[in-house]
Amino acid sequence: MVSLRPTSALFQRSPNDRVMTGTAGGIGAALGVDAWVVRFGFVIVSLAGPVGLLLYAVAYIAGGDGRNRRTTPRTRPVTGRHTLGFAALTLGVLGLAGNVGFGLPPGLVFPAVLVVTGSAIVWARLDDRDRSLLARSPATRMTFGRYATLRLIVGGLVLALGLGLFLFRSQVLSSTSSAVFAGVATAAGFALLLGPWLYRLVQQTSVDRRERIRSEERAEMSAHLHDSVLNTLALIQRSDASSEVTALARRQERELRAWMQGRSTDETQQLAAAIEGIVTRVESQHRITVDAVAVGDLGLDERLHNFVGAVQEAVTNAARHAGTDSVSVYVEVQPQEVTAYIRDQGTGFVRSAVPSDRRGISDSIEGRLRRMNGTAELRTSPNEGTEVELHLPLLTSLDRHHHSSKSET
Amino acid sequence: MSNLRVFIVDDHEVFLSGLRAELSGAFDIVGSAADVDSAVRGITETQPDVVLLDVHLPGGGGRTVLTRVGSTLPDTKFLALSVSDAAEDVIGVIRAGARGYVTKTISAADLGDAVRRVHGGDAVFSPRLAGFVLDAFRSNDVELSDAELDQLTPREIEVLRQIARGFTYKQVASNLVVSVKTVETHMSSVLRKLQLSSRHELAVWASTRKLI
Repeated sequence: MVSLRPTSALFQRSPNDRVMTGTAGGIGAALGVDAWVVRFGFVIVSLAGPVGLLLYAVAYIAGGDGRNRRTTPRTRPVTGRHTLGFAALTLGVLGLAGNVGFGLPPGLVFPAVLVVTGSAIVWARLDDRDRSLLARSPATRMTFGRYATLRLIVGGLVLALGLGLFLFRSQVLSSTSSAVFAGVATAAGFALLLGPWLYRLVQQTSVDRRERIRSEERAEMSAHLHDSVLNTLALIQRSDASSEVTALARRQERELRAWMQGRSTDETQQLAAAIEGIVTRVESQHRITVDAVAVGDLGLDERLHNFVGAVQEAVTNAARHAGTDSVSVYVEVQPQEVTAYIRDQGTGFVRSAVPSDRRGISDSIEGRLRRMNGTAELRTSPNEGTEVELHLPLLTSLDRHHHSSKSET
Repeated sequence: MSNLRVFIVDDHEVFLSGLRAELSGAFDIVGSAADVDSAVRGITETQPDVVLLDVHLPGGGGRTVLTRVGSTLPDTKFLALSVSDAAEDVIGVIRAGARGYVTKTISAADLGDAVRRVHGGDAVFSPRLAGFVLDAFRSNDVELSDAELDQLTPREIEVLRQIARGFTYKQVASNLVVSVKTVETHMSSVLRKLQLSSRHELAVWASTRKLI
């Protein structure tokens, strides 16, 4: 695989399979062995002496940078493997220092590793914050938050243990300046624990701020955009455009407005949405304008579905027979009942003159309402327009119980 | 009698020139503005009889214009004009002092009529605004609001319902067998209550509908 890459380097440091720099991963891939074998080799050689670290450094330099081929995002979470890597590297460095002779007494190597490992564990939570920025659901945040706290505690304990051991073994506590030294050590511990966290907190705040500003800009932008689109649609409706164009503009205006106001457009769920649905259908089928005003809203049940059906029948009748270009609909939800008025200022008619085979009014409107204990009243006379008034009493929970027990028997 | 002096505030250029063309025959268009600052300047300078005020404007919206000049010019009447139809916009601009609200799809003749009525001191309610007001004053809990301003009288509700049903003031008057003047008085009183009521529900109602 690696040989296919046009590069002068012996191998590419792996951007994906990496604990530290990806050097071991790259060598492993180039040699065809598991990267962990290579890593283990590095650790063992480093423990034996400075040669191991030197080897690693040389290998790092010799390896090509595979990062430009990386497929995963650059901010990769710090994992347990990092902690391991940190500890291994510390061991190596300390081994090197000890061998060279200016370093720590052998007894202090272990505490130092503990300190570094503790820091690594604490720091590992930083990238969790990055991730939780991407997945901001409360659930994820809580999960990561819990892990982060756990990690902070474990890391802090390891760090404290390391520092304590360090102080104890170096015998500084018995010296005269022990109090000062202990103070410095504690401060250093806190700095190790909290420093990166504070740094990230500051960064996080500015990221959040940028994010908020951006979303505000977006909202303002879309408000402006919507407003000018609505203006244009209103302009079309006022112009002498053909009735098809005007009807289209009306429909789009209504849709955009409903979307902007976050109204439910599910006609099968809510009364107001169902009335809007009637308006849209009748306007597109009959080329008239329907002005609907709804006061209050209700979830639809079977009776209200029937009520909406009656409203639709009345609006359609007006659109078909009144010979006018507009119909007004008013629906109001009151505590005890729902009322609807469907009015046109068209030709009107004489009820007795309607052929008896035309059953729309008596069946679809009056019959429907009567079956639900409601009323339907129709007022019309020639050239005076027509108004249909519908009343549907709402069932209280007691009624509903009564109703259902009645239908069971 | 000289023509009414009208000032138009609208940030939509084409719409503004359209309004100008439509109204210039019957009214004296003394100026126009496309944002809050120039509107405030222009209105203060020209002192028009009626201001046609777009609800959405860069720099704060029609409401800001009203709060900045409304009280200094008691003789200038404001008629809100909007494509929005969002309840909180409409109620907001009325509460800030506009004498009426019409949608931008209104015909030129109706708009001219509305301008004249606003100037005459009437409240101009579109059916939709009447619906909003009914919605806002709907009370499930009458005991909670005892101030007179927080309640609509049964007669006012009846008039509002008729307007929401699409009747003109004249038709409402004949339906209820009262004079047009009485209907106008009822509507002015509704407008006053809408502007002055500290009704808790009104604030809550407007804020819960602020969805954008």
